[in-house]
Amino acid sequence: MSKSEKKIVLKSLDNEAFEVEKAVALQSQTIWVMCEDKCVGNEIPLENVTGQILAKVIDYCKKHAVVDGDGDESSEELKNWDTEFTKNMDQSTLFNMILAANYLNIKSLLNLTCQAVADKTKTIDEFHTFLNIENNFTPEEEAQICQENLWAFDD
Amino acid sequence: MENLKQQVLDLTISRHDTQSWSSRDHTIPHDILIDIFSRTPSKSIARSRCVSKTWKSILHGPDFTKLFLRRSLSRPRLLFTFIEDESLFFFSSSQPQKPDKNSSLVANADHHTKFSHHVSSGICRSVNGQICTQDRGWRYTVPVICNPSTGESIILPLLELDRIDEKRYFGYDPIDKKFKVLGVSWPACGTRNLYEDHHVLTLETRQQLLWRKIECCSPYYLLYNDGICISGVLYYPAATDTHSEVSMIVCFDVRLETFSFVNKPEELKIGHYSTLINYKGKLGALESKRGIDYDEMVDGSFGFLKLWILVDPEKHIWLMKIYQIPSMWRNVIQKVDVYFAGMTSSGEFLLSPYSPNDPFYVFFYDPEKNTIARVEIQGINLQRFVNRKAYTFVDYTENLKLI
Repeated sequence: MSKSEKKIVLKSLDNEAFEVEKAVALQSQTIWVMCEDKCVGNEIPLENVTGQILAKVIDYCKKHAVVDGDGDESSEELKNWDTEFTKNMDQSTLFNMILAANYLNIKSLLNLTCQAVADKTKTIDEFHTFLNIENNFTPEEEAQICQENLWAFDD
Repeated sequence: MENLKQQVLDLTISRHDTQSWSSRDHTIPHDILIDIFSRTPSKSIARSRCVSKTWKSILHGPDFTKLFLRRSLSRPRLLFTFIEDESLFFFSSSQPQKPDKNSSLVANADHHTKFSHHVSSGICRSVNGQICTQDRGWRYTVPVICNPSTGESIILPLLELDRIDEKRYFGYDPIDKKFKVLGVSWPACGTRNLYEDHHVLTLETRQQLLWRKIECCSPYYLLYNDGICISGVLYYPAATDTHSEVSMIVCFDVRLETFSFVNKPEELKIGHYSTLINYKGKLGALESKRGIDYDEMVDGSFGFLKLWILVDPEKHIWLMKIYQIPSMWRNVIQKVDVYFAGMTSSGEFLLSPYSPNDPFYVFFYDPEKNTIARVEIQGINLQRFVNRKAYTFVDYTENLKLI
């Protein structure tokens, strides 16, 4: 494989181009399938992901490609890195990371971001807002159902 | 699973909230929403059932319940139990994975439920999210199974009325996925039949709960309460006669309902408060330095830990490990009286205070790194439980249903 074949260019929704090692990009099943199909050249357009999010996804893939390849970092260190990675992400970024991980089909990143949402959401209302879930009970129904789950409201 | 998908397709999710999420052109697919829900604590699930009809139905469904349990098994929690005014109070917090000795960690405990059974003691370890305890009625003590995460409980039938006492061990058969209670009862003094009787009760929904008598090939005497279920086998200590010390471990295969016995090494002393632990899927016994007449109270002067691991039950082979306790132990634990509450699935010993003060600290001892980390447990109103014993359990798995 020549040097150029080892690299691949990922183009974001807002036309930002990222040149990455193929091994890094192929952690995405979506990109892997696109490459298999050979219907794309060296440049892969990713229409659902913005440059800002794609940069983060690539950071994640780079870290995980290195560790999987060289094995010079323990899984514990990788876990710590993952924790740091999502630690300071705001909700909007996390939301978009979930969508990107799902679209690009990177299972470990999807797991990580879903867990981060579950862990980081402080209040249940915040959580429901995040997930865009609307209350469609009538006040009577709500009172009834809350009564059945009273223990969960007892802080 | 099909059912779940259908419900998901029927979901209606509002898109009205444009104020803070105006940049969103997409919504998270429903299967991912379900995945996110399965990663939240049971309390969030209960509250989320109260927001929409569809979610109420999904989050109550058997597919979601199974998914939630599978996830819970991979993120075990700490369970704290207090007995106050004959009621049981449950709290649980996340169980820190490999806590770092240099960081001061805080774990927030969720208040679960209060069970108003007349409990005075006798709480078995949790098995797949269920706890076996007893209700001391005005005449008889009856066994009760509780699920701390949902607040549900069932009272089991009485075993035998003519036997003087009984002990119960709670186990889970991971192959047939069945919970079983082993009841060991023995007669009043002076009667001819001195040995234990054994009964098994399988916990099944929509079935009448009945005790079945089973035979045990060899007689023995029970001395202590402590028992542990590891990979479908219940282990508990026993003796060959009433006046001797513990000499063996009874192994009860929960699925096959058969007994076997493992001899204990001469040097291993199992005392009243001995700690049986799950050491990476094998039975482990932590030995008290001070011998059989003292409990496992640990203080700063504790010099070493002796752990016996049952490596081959058939050949009665045990392996002994000695851990030298680092001198910093004394500084970290200070004057708190702690006991060994168990070993976490990630391999640390958990030490928990008998009677927590404010702040409530638990300690994780990592035998591989020889480090000790202190974690503060917040969210429990300790004023309510002054001088009460805290029963702390490792590897608690939240389960959304009872049995």
